[in-house]
Amino acid sequence: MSKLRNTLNVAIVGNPNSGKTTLFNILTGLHFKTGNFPGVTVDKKIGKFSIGKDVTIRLIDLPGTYSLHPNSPEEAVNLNYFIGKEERDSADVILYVADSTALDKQLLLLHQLLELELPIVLALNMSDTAKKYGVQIDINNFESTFGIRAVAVSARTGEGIETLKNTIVTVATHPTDRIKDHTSWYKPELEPLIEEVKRRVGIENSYLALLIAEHNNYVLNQWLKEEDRNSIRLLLAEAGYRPLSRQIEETMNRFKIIEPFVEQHVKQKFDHLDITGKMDSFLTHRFFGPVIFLIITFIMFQAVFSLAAIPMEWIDKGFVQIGFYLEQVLPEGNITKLFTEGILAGINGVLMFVPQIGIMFFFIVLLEESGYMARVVFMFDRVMRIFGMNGRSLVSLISSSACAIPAILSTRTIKNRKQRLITLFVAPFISCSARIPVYTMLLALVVPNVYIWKFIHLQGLAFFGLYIIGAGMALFIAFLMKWLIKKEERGYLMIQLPSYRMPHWRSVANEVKDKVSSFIWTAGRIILVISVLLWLAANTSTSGTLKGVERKYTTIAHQQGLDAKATQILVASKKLEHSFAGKFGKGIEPIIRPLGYDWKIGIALLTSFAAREVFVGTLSTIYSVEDESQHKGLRKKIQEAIDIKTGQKIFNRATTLSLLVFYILAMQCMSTLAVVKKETQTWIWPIIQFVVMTGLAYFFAWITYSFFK
Amino acid sequence: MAVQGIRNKVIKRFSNKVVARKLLSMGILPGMKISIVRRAPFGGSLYIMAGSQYIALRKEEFQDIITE
Repeated sequence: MSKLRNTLNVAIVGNPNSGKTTLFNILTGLHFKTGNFPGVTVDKKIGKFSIGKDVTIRLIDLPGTYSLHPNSPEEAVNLNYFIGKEERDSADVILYVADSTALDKQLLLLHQLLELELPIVLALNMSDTAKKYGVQIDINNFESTFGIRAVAVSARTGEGIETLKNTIVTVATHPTDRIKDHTSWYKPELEPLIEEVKRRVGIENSYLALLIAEHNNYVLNQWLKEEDRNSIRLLLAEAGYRPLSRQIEETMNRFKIIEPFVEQHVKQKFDHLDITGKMDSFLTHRFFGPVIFLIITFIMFQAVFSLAAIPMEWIDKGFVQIGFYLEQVLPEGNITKLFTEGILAGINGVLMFVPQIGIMFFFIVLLEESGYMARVVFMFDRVMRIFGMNGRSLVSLISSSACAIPAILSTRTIKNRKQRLITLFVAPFISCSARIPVYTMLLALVVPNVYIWKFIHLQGLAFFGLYIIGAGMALFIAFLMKWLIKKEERGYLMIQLPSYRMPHWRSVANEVKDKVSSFIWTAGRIILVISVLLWLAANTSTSGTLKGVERKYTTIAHQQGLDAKATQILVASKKLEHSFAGKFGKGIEPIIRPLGYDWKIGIALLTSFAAREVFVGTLSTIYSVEDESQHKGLRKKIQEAIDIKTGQKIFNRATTLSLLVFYILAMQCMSTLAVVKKETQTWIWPIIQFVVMTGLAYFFAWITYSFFK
Repeated sequence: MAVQGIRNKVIKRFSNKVVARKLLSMGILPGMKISIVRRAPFGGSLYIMAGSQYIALRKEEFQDIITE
């Protein structure tokens, strides 16, 4: 082996519904790094695991695809990977994953891969489900017919995983005799073209050369130089070559081999299509379909609110206890204060909302894994087209309720450029998990924590309402954009409706864990940094100012005969007012006064332009600073906050509702803007998005405040 | 279009390249039987059985499939 000693590169390939990701997770035990495939922004996961003592496997996850013939740059990732001559990542073995219960449809790609003349191991996945359906596969025939080893595995039960690992090593070290007559359908007149491509690209494989010629527009520049691309095109044109008819012929010929093979060696007693068909006669029914979809989303939002409440309470109280304990134990001083009031408050602001974000991701992963999402695409395609989008947009918008960033990335599956642009433009209007902390805190101030009719949680209902406002605005803006952007181009739906299956729970759990921890690390880092900066800004000022303020107001308090506690509160709030943070907040107060916000909310508002969830952390920092004597939970502190000037509660109904409206609509996420820029290749769209969203937020927050004042 | 009536028609060819490429790669080939199972709740797209799988197509995409 030429690379690292005893390290094998294994590329895991398969159709989109083959259970490839689950198998990847099981094999690697979630030890993987994420990178990018060149030329496209498709995630490239490389995981590592060892077999026995001597062999380490680098498992490279290629995106699920039906065929090596691409229809888009994203679908061309597989092809480009196999053209690529990168020594580091090129495959020693291909691990082909197929769903045992749908073998007749999943062998086309395998049959194409056979011609790349690499060792292949076939993982016949979902063997447990196959048994249930009475599917019997004669495994040995894959070796005698195609020259590849097949192993029945179940990522769910772990069956066959060890055998699969051993087979990978065996195949890599002892290549079997491959059957090489599957090139018989190449016409002799293609030979000159194939030879020319081989020579220019520097490869030896004829089938790969043919694919490069036919799909030269999708082949990366690093594999095919511009001059080579042009001369290949010239050759194609001269020959009057018609790639599509050859592709049809090739595909039909492959199925002529695959179909009889499957018929002969795969026996199925019991048709699972029946079950899926019956379920869909209900789940995609004209009337019941949409109703069920609404019920599912409603349950999802109820769960986010009511199930998460208890662990959230624990976390919040736990942090108060930890802070209290640390203040007792650690020496008194500014470093301790920075730790308890800055860092600890910041961490609390992140962790407190993990239960809600986790539940949200859990539902989304569940709907994807079970096959239900494809039905959502089908049912709502027409409706979404009214708003200039398509059925896939709805899936993007739903996942935007977890986070706008993966949602914007998922719009890549929308081929029509106008529909894609509209979808990624309006996705941030959908309330994401980062707004959950803000909503939770603010709603608790204006909506009582009660149940109506014993089962509908009132805050949960209000929460749902906030999402509806965001979604409504998304649709309204999409509708406007549909009329404003004049560009017509045909879009396509064409989607497989895979058989329903029970999600693999461990895999769902892993995926949720993965997403939650990435939220904690990406958002958490920003929040933590901002918390510390903010604490510093709130506790420092131009030299001598704070000392002066302290002296002055202690005297005033003394003159007014205030007790110790009242003195402390007065001094702390005056110190905050004269700190850098206070000056900053005061500077913008004239702009935000019409919305009902004071300078303290102003500080929080500004810091949330880095990321929304910072709002809660900021408030908790500000109110810890102001009210350091009492060890109350964050909510209580905020609820009781009083405007010194008016003596009124700061978070009254008008201000709180106005803030809620502002947070629904404003674009306050730098990471989202960066992703939009990356996906649209221009700063124009993120800038428009920022101006439009924040402008709408200001306008509607002003209306809300004026109305409820 | 009386879509409900289309049952077990045999696919002859495709009249659009993109439709052809995508359906072929999903294993939907000339010679296979195709039926319309139902319409989407709000119209526009069709729930289709092609060969032994279920797929969703827009009406226009379905019209690009020429049957015998």
